[in-house]
Amino acid sequence: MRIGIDVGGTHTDAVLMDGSAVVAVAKRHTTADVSTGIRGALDDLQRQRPFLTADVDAVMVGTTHFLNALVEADRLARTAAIRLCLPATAALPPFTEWPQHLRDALHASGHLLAGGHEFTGRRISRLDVAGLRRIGERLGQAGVQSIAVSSVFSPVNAEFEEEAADVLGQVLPDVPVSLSYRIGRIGLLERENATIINASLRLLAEEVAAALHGVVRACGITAPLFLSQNDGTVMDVETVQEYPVSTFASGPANSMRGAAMLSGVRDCAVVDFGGTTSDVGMLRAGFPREATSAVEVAGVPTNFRMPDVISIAIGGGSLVRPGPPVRVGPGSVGYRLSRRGLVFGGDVLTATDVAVAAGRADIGDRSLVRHLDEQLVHDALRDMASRHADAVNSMRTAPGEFPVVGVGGGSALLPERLEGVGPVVRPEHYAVANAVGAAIAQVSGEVDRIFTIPPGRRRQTMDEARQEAVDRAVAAGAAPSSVAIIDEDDIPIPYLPGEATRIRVKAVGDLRIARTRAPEGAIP
Amino acid sequence: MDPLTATAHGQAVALGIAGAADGPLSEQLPSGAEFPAAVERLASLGVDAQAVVPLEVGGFNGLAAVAAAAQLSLPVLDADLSGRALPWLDQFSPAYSGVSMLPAVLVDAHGRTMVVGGATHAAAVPDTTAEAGSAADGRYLEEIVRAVVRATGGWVVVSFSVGTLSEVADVVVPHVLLRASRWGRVLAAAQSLSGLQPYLDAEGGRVLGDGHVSAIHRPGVDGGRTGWFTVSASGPLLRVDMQNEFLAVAIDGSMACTTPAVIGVLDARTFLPLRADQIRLAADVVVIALPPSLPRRRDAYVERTGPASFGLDFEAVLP
Repeated sequence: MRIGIDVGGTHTDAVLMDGSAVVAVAKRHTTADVSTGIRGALDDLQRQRPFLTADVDAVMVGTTHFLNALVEADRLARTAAIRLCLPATAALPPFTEWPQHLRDALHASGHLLAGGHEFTGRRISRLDVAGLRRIGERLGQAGVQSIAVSSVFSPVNAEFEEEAADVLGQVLPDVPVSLSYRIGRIGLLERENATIINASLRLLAEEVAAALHGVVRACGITAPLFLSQNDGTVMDVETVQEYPVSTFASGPANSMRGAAMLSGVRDCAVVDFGGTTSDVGMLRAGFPREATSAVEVAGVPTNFRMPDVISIAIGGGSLVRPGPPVRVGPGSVGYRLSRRGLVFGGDVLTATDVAVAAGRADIGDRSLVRHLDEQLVHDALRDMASRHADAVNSMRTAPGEFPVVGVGGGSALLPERLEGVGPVVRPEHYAVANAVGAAIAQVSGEVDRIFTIPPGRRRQTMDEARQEAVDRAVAAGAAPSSVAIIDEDDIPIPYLPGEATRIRVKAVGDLRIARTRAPEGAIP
Repeated sequence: MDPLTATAHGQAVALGIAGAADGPLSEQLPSGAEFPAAVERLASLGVDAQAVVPLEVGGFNGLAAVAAAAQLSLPVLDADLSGRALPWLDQFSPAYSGVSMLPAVLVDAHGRTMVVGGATHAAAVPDTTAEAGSAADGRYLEEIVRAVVRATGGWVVVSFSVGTLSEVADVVVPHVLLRASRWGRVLAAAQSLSGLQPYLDAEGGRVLGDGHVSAIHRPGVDGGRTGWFTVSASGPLLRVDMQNEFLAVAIDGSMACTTPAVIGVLDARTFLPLRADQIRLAADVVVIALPPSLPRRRDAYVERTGPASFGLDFEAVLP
């Protein structure tokens, strides 16, 4: 059995799954310390469907912790970026285009040094080791807590980034160093940005990993712990401490994959109606449609591959302004819904109160919203429906009707049809689709870099790249027999001699379950 | 600056980067000193730069020349030498306008400057192409630039004079910069295909089709220069031929549009244009065509930039 947990801004959801069957679900409010909410949800699972902790094969957690830290510019490490590049790239130093408040939060400092490679792997210039030591010493004195290192064409040749990590490790043994070649793909600025974000989250990642570990172990579960990644696959918690950035936007992929599994609908729009926002994405053949353009995260350009999702500021905790005209959001009481909402005895009119008044949901005390004006309730529901229809319509790429799968606790607020789109389907367990998506996640391995292909060796080079992707998936925890290539592309680089080709391969497989049935595993 | 009414003294200098935009140029970024270095070196060869003209409006180079002009505090001509994106320097307008691209100054990714000199009386440049004059110079420069791109970081700044400003109207493709920025605004604001239609109608352009990418054969994969992809939906089947640029569109097997028309492949949701290397299987796209921007030497332009110039064996078809 597996346990999937989704820690959202408002709710902490958990599911217990036996194969593809959902056997228990729990929904708790997210607590400020996170662990209490998770503990409560795990206890609820145990009460609903008593299970042996030793029967749990894996626990997968999706969390918005890291994204929230970035968006709120809170709990981020003092971070420096060192780029090995000169004389190239000087026009656009690190932190170019970053929002000022984020730079401030990171106490950002960017440094350029000689180094880097050409696309062929040949050195641009030798690594300036003495200069690197000097910078390291200065950063130490300035109290820098985390360092991001990028080098031109490090995905082709990583020797300078590795060497820089060694040098910095000697000068600043306690400061974690994030290397760009392990984090991003070709495209220096976007890869560097992702690396800086990663570096800024390293201290928080240690805390979060320890807290998650602590709460799961406290429940007597010794199964391995994984975190969901942006693409819907998972990474073990030890690795997450080094690469938190790869898990920081897992919500959309989890909810969409969960929606596909729960509804059985493979081509549709998915609306994930949460506590503070509603996210709209598209499923084609069961997989989330990916964004084709560069993805901005908290105002920072990156080149993550993520589902194409638009968010609207409507959620179960959204404030309803009586108008006229009646308008829902963008303000929200967030996780304080359980205290501030009218149905919970609070004093704020929220979208959830409207849903209860209209009979679409049965939460809290219905009598506390009986006094609400019928027209106000009607208008608020209509505002939400029409703005969702607009959002779904803006995602469409073909005319005609298509189904909308509504998931998330707030999807009770959706009508039975979205005007101009199609019917709304709400599958069983819709409220915990994110946690289901986390629980069914697989593991992946990816290769994306420029290969120099000798004449007549294209097929062999592709095979090598495929093998490397498979190896990486296995190293990440996939059962070797289950690994399959799900996506591959080879694009010769224009204007260069034919042998320079960018090859991209992604392999995905099922999690390898190491059954370590502990004898003391009993119902706690 | 409008090239048709330019009367200022001095010369227009063409600026751009030759090489691979996605890959080397997105990793080994320019230092920012390359364009000023090129213009400075040209000045030492007697070129009095008073305006900048982009090599090509298409892709990275349209904006690069605008940025360079700002850096140099020079006006930029509302024009280019190609009317679109083109891969070979000998397809550019000086090569068929009697204007030599030599001497040219190249600056590589390490900041090294190279001068490709013109013919001297002492030793004429050997003409291996059996062509003479500006066409031969264009071919010669093209071969040198390819060699430098291979030997250095994968891209190189190319610059040369296109002649005096008062005569530049005979050389360039006019009014392409403002046209491109107008289309940029239209596409950025587009919400639906029907919203795009009035702008297409106004220029004699059209939607060739839309649907999802059902097959891709990448250019260069089997050694062939030309690749293709197909777009299918409920309607007709589109086949788009491409190298690094989109070159021709056939609808249900009959040729509908070819270079030098502007062929745009747009993301069907955002209406933002995609590059040839960004085409992915199952992506939803819209294919549009716009009539080409034309220079005064219209026939020579269509010949030099038509399907045959890309090694394709069919006649030009313009919308």
